[in-house]
Amino acid sequence: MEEIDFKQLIEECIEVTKGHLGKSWKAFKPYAEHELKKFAESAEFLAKLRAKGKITDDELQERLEFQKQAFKSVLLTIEGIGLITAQNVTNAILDIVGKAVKAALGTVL
Amino acid sequence: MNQHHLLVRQIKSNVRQFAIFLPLFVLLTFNSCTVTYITGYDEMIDETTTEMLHDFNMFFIKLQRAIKSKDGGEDQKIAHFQGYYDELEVDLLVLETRAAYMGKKSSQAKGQVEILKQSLHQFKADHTEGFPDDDDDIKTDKRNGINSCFNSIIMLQKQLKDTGKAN
Repeated sequence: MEEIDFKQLIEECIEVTKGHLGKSWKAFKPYAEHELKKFAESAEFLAKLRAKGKITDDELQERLEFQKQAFKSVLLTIEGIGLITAQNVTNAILDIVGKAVKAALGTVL
Repeated sequence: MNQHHLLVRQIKSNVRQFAIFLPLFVLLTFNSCTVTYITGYDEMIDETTTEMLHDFNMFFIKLQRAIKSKDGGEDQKIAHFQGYYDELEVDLLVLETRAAYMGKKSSQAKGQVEILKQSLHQFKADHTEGFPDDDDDIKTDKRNGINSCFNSIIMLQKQLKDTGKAN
C-alpha cells in the first residue's frame, strides 16, 4: 500500500475549503483547520489499520462513512456561522438606515 | 349641504391624523426591523452537550484501556459500560426534546442533534457487537468523529449565544 502524505492532504483540504468559503475563511480558519486536521488524522489511522490487515475494505469504507457523517455536523456549524454573519451585516445596515430616518424625522430616541 | 361639510371635515381630520401617524409608523417600522436568518441557541442544549463531551471522553479513555488489555475481550464488553449508555440515552432525549421545540430557522442546530444521535447509536451498536482486544485498533477514528459532532454543536451554540457576532 502506497504511503499517503497526510500533511499534504490536510493542506489540500484547507485550500479547497478556503476556496469555497472565500472572504469568510478568516472567521472559520481556527475551527475549520482543527476539524480538518482531526478528519485527516482519522483517515491516516484507518489507512494504517488497513495496511496492517487489521480491518477489511468494507470496514474501512464503513468507518470512513462515519467520519463523513461527523463532518456534516462541522459543515452545519460553518453554514450557521455564515448565516449569523449575514444576519449581523443586514441588521447593522438596517440600524444605520433606521437612525438616519429617525434623525430626518427629528425624533429623539 | 351640512352633510357635505361634515364629510369634508371628516376627510380633513383623517388626513391630519394620517400625517401625524405616518412618521410614527415609519419610526416603528425601523425600530422593529431586525432580520433573523438563523436561530437555535438553547441553554439546555449548550450545557448538556458540554457535559456529554466530558462524559464521552471519560468513557472512551476507559474503553480504550480495556481494548488494549489482553483478557479475551472481557473488560470491554458493553455490560461493563451500561451505566454510561443509560446516562447517554437520557442526555440524548433531553437534546432531542429541546431540538423539537426549535423554530424553522434552527435547521442547523436540529440537524446537528440528529447527527450526534445517529453517530452515538451507531457506536453503541458496534460496541454491542463487541470489540476484540487490540493494541492498534482502539477506535480513535470513532472518538474523533463523535468529538467533532459534540464540538460542532458547542461551537454553533456559542456563536448563537454571543449575540450572533461570528467574526
